[in-house]
Amino acid sequence: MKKYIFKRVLISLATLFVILLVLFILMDLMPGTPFNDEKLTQAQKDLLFAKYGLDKPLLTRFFLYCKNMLKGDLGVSYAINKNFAVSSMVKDRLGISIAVGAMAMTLGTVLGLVLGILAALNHNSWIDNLCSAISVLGVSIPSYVCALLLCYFIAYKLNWLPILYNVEQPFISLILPAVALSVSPTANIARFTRSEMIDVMNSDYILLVESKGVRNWKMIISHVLRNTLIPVITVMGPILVNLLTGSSVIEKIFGIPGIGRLMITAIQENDYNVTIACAFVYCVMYIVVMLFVDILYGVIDPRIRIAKEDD
Amino acid sequence: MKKLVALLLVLLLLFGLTSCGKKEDTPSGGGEGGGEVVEDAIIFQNENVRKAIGYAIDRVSLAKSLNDGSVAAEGIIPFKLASNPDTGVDFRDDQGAIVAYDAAKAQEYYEKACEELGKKKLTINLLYGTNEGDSVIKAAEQIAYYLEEAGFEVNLVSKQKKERLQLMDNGEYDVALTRWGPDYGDPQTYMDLYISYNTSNNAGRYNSSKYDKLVEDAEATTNPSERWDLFKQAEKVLVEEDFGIIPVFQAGGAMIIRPTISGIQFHSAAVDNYRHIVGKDDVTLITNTDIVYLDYQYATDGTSFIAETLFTSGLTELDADGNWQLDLAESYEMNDDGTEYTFKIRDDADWVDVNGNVVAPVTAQDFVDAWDRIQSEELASDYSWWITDVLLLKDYTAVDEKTLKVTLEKPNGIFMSCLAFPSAFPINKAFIDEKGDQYATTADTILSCGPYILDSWTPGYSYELVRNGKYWFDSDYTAAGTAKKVVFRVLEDTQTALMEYEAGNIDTVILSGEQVTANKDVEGFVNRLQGYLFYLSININHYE
Amino acid sequence: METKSVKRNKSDRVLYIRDLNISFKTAYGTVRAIRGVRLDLFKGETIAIVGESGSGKSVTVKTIMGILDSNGVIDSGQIIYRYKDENGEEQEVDLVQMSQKDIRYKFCGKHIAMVFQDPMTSLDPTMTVGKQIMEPMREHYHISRAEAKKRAMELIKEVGIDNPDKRFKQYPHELSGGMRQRVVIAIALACDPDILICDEPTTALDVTIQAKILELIKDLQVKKGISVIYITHDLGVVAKVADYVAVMYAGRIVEKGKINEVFYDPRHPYTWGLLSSMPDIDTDSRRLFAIPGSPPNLMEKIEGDAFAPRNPFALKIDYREEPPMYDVGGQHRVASWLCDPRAPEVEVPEELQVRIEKMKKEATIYE
Repeated sequence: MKKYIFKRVLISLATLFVILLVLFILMDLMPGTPFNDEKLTQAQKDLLFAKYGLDKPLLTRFFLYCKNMLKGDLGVSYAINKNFAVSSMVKDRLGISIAVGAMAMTLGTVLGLVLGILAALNHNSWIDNLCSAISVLGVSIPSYVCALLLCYFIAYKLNWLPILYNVEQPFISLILPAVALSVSPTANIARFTRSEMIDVMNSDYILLVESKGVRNWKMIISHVLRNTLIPVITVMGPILVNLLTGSSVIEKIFGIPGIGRLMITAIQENDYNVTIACAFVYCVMYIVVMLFVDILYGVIDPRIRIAKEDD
Repeated sequence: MKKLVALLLVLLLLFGLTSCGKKEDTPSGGGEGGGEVVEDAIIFQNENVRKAIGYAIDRVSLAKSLNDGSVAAEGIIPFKLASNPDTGVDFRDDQGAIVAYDAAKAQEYYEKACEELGKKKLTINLLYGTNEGDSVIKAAEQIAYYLEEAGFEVNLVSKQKKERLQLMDNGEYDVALTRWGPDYGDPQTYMDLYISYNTSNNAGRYNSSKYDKLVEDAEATTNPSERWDLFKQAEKVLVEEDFGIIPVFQAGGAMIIRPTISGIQFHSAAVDNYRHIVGKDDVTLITNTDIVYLDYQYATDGTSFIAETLFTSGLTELDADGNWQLDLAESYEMNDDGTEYTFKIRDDADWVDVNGNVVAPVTAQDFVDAWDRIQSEELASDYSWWITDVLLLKDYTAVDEKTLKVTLEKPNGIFMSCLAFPSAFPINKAFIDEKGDQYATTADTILSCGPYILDSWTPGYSYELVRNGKYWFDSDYTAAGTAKKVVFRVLEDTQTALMEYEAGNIDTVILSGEQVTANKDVEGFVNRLQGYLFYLSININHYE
Repeated sequence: METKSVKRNKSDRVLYIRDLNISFKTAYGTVRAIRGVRLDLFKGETIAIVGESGSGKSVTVKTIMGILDSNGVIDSGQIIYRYKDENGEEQEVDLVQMSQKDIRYKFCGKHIAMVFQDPMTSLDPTMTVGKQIMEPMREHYHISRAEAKKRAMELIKEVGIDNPDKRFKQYPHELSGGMRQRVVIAIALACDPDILICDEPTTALDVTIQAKILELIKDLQVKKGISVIYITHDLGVVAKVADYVAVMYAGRIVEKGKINEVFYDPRHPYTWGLLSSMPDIDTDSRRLFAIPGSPPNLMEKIEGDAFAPRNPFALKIDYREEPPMYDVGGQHRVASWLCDPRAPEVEVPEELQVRIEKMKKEATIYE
């Protein structure tokens, strides 16, 4: 297992290096420059290019960037918060996005599993239909609409929670965004859990467990859930990455200074360093979470675990 | 290995998605690759093509349909930019409308142009920005409609702003919906743009020696009335005779301001002044963009400038009517021909840190340092030309600690009011040198010499300003009941902003789209006129 | 063919089914899956229920196990089960009167155990073999882990798996198909059941392993005196293991009797068909008999004998009225109008006669 993880980490690092290079090339291909501004003359633009070293060839810039990156320096922002260290920009905003995302994920997982399990246990009953209806709604309602509805009823009409994100009460004011953000993962996890669990419950091995006379609750805990969760965990990985890296829509509505919005703005503004940093963070999170999911997968699924030990 | 490839694909997809807004192009879009454009662009040398475009657009209906307080343009000079030095009449009223909507004429010119060019159909690729506000998208679609009514075939080419500007810089466009925000209250801020040798702004390479001469003469003369007349003539040549550019609309901005507060001064040709808000001690305002840069010598955007004029002061400031008043200057003397000014800086003008402690007095040398710094290549400031081209400074020296003497190239009617702009504000060089790279990155790496102190700045979230007790005018502020704390909350979404406003948590809301109509009768509704003038830039000669 | 004689004394009955009717409610209508089944199981006896898929054989045993699908309804009938309780006292219950849950919690795994068709899918892939074997013991006897483990080790050895220490800790996917079926058998035997139900226990295995598994079940049965019910469509298996056989068609038992009675003197045309279609090494596969047509749709009401449309010997009455169960001597019972004294004489098809003769001859040779 250790050897396996070590190998995976090495591959991940190599992947990240390649990704960084690709990002650099993509960035270079992006139309426009950070300094396209109606107020800027060509002479000023040239000055700015020279000032930020953008007049150097791509590879030189790339290796310089890599070198600085190892020192924790991700360059400065050219357009969003001029001359700001990108590392601190990303750090601050990522923190908030991770906080919202983690809340949403926790909520989505708990609710999704509960709904999915309830539906599967009461297969073909009204509970199942209700849970299915909730999932369909959850998947089909855009998060924008959902967020506005929550804002209007919970925060504005009932005044239970603040409408906007507030630095002084981060937890309370992040509840609504987290709820809005969790709607779609809840629905996805619920749907997936339900169908997986129904499959498991119809499987031969559950029939065998039934034929052993094992009590239902024991059977569900020690056989059904374990077998259901293995595939569910694989879909949760990408959902988690998606949530942790911030939703630009939710951030916009609730006024959250998160990384999702930052990335969109950075792309629009051609803010090279910020875009690269955001995309890179995205990739790092993706790789880390997927690595984690893989390891977790091995822990709960003996078939994978054995294969890895043989590796 | 498989995973690696998959990951790369995901990444590419990600980029494909995020940049598809940029790449989105009409089927025959002429934005990409100059070739096609170059061939087609020749038609814009034909005056009748440009006339057809000029007459085709029903600006009044268009502005009305934008529903955000925008008004139809009557020329390239916007309303409320400058007034006649003799009569005080607004330039626009003085000149009158020099554009017109006439569908029949538009068609007539179109047919004439077709005949002259020997073509059955003329095609226009209309370039516009997708992230420049809803009104731009709406306007572009309507312009396309009007042009089609006149007979043109129109392809809408939508790009992100940065790319639109890049294409215009490269001359890779036919007709583009673009804008110009005035830097100061004088027609020159617009007239300079279309001089044949201004390669930075005259994207379509409008080239008229007559126009060049009129503008040059206007800028050379020391007689304000003559200058005024020359600019009027120049505008007529550009817009009415040559159809060198096609003015469309002047931007508005609808918002709600809590009726209990007042004193926000909107200026269409200068930075809005938020220094005199009264009616509430603790005011929270909504801004849809964040401060870009705290260093006022480096900033270029309105949001930054508004904040910066709160915590920094210049020699003068603009009042509600747009007239200048002395600020950090206690008094000034001017020589007879208006080329030499001597300012006496207030004894009680001080630099104050984030905690409200006095760091140093504001000296004449601080202005000298500031004007040197903003022009330095090292800073590469976008506004370096403010000193030379707007203020027309030839020389400036600190006579003693509190006496500043400046010499102008020639008399300058807008000199005193342009000193109220952040690019003319003083700096504390010692502080900047001490902070180095960290200068102006946080609230505690910037000094204040204005009525407020920047208390905190959380990028992307909010910035808060508290009254500067050491500011020379502070006791008067207190007497007037000026807000003790002004908080700007960054919020892009207008729906939640409106709820937050109605819940009483914020004091202003910027409205958009349907909200404008829905809230027209709400108490505190304001439909302000902004300085931005949107016009069609026509690529007349740039392909050459 | 085994001709072991089990005395079918009423007092030795462990299970008897009377007039069992079961139907399934589906979205398309009601399926009458079991129609008046009557069957006896005696102590130490092996009976085989034979039939095509959909004939109701699996439904019958699932009902006994209390694992009938949730849309299944027992319309009428009795399933009387006799067992010795913890105190060694004889008890008799009607399973039909009990809830499925009660049947499962009280009897399944403990008194009645089951071996499933496909060993590849019938073990939980996420649990070690040892734990799965221990599970029923822990459930029913509440014994300590150590004790259960000791017993599980014995069982593993008993079902013919070497190296029990290693196997105990392994997961199902680390074992071969035959090995897994041995584990399933070990699980079934964990609580010393009275009845072992084997649902097509060898179909998913290859031929050599098939024989070994059947041998194993037989040995254990003799050793422990268990009654076994085989569910199969394979008459070859039946011939090898069963004492008594019941042929089911469309939810009804159409012929039943001692193995020799049914195999050497089949009376029902459906049984003829089944016997004729039984593959054997000598028969030319091209001449293999297949019963024409397909089983009836049990959603529709069946007029007369359900087999009539596929029966080349069908009489007119077959289309009008269901045949009663005729006693044709010994334990042999047949539900066919052909057994009615008024029916015309019908000869067993020649091909089958040859076959039966051959089987008889083989049987004597083995003996």
